[in-house]
Amino acid sequence: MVAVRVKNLTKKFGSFVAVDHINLEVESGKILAFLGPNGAGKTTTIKMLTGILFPDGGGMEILGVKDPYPSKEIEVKKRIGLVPEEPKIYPYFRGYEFLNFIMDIYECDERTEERMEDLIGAFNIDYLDKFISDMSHGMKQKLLLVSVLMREPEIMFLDEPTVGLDAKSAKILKIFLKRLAENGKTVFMTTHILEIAERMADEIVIINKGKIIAKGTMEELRKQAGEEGTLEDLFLKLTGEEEEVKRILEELGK
Amino acid sequence: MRELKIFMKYGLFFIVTRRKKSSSKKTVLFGQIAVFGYFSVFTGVMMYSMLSKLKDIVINNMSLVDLYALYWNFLSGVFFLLGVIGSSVYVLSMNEEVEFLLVLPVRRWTVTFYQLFMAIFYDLPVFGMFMAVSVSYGLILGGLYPAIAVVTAIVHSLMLLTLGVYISTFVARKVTGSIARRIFIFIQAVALVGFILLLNFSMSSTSNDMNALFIKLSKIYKVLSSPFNIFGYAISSINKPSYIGVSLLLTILFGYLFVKESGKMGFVVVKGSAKKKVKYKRYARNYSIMMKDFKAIFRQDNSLFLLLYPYVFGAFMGWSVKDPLYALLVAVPISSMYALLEASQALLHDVSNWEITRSLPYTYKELISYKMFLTTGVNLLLSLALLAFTSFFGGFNPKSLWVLLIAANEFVMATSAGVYAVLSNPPKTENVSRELMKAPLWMSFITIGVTVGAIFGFGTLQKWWGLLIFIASMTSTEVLIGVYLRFSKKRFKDLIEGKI
Repeated sequence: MVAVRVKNLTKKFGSFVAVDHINLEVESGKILAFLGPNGAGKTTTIKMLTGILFPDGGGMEILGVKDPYPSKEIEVKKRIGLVPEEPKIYPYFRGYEFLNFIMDIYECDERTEERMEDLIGAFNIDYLDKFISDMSHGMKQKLLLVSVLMREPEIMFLDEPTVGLDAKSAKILKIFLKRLAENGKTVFMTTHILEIAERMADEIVIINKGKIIAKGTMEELRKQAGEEGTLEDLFLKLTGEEEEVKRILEELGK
Repeated sequence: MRELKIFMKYGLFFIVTRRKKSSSKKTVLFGQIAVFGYFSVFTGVMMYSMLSKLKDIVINNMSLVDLYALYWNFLSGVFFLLGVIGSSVYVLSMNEEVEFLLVLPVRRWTVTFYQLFMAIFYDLPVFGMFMAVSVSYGLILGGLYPAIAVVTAIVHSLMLLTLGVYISTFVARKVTGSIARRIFIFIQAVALVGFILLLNFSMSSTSNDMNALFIKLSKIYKVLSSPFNIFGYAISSINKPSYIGVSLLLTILFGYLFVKESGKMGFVVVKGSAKKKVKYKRYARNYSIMMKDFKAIFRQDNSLFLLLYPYVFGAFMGWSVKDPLYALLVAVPISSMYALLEASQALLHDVSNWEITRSLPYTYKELISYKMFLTTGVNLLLSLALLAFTSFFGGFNPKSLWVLLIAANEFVMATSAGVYAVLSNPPKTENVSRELMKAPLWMSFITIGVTVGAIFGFGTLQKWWGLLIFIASMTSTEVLIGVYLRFSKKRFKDLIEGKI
């Protein structure tokens, strides 16, 4: 089953085209790494797929629901989860109140609460009685991850999920995501840490200047780039940044 | 000093970038100066006209001018200090800006001083009031006194400022951000009670028992003119120049303590709250959304002030004239303006955390309706409590129930204005208190104007023009509710379409 299908999706901010007629499909149970340089359109795409921003053109299908926003957004939002790039959460909540609120608003069952307790232990969250305004970036990031992972949504949109996490938590997250994908859940993830993408993703999509410039498995990307090497090498080559890196290094050498 | 100069430049720039593109550095600076000027002139004119009336009255060798000038100097001094502490404690907890500044190769006290300056920049109006009281007093005395009054006011505000920043730094070093916020709320509550008590003193001048009043005034004068009343120094030192020396010494002492304390400033959570076993209680979805908004409204730094001030003030006014209707007439217009701010505050949190808000499964209607319902409901309950309290002293007036109905209508209008204010100008920062200051002034004026019109018109219904004012105000209320809600929805749509 196709979890995410996107056709000619476009978003403009004034005359600037942030996302330019992109097409992609993500099968259920797969981990997709959505890569690109800063300002390439990754976050804007995720915002459109999660209903935060409405597209200016094209269409999408999320979990079989065609163009779900805004007509069927509640139905779809209950089945997906988002960890945004910036872990911004309501500062007036205490940690546990936020999780409680999430369970209520998603009308979660008792099993979710059990999973939540497990995740709290796994991520070593011992600050739930603190106000969110008093939490660090990493603390908030872990809280947000728990709030999404505990629900085990059918699709998880994770925008730079490992930023701010300690090594242990990042490792746990990676293992957890793999397991969820094995159980049929879909992970749509952006990351600048290409090693993570290389090791975890079933499929990689590279976007640059709002356009998808490459997609496929690691092997398929190697074929497209016409060279062997790490994802970092392929990424730089495909985004055209390889030459620029060489030039800058030469300049710096001088 | 070089570091500070660079920070100041950066800071003023920062304020500009947080505002609309059309704003310039000069506009922001002049805006603050204009507010300072407005408060100074307004208080100055009011003070001067009041003091002129009292200038020839001497009771038991006590000049009423001295007493009133001391009293207002004390009041504005206390508010200035509380304002400084209130805004400062809050900005000294860790935030993104501090995190960035701490990375730079600058001394810690510079970061602390800079943060405090940025906070105190917004306390200029209270400083204006403080200055105006002294200068008005100087003008009444005549001769060179106005110039001396300017000097004493500057010296004493410096003393209060250094005391304020020292206390803030000391407190912020010891407590977490949330405790700092509670301290801020506590300070506001103390200020509120203090204000009412002092108002009691003002109002007592209307008492018929003149002898008792004179004894009371003499006692108050003794306290206010005491050398230990540092809040009255700006006035006391005009007649006793030695106080200027004391003030300068205190400024140096507090300044030294501040530099010493700020050098150790951690900007981090020093004492985390003890780890407690947390308990989850499950609620129905709608109730949970409502409770979320309830917390957004009541856990704000200034919520206690915004909610209680109009009613405490109304209770006092109603109690002094023994008329519950009068209490409502005083409280409702002020609370309608504050209801606008309360609804704005709650929504500001949602829009500041837009990605998480939009990713949650709730609709636009759910996003705004609970905020409007809660703000209106709580204000209505407080109005009812005010009515009950004042009816106890002044007897029940059935007309008051109609005022409650009008108030409910005005609260709905005010909260819809609050919603529109946020959606028409979405926040650029996470600093809700600072964002709240960007609510358009015209909206507050319209809200208070229409409410006063409705209430005043209701009070004078027997006259044709009273009836006309009432009908016009009530019609305006309904039209405004419709307009605000309609445009809010449009702005919300623009927001999710990425147009704003």
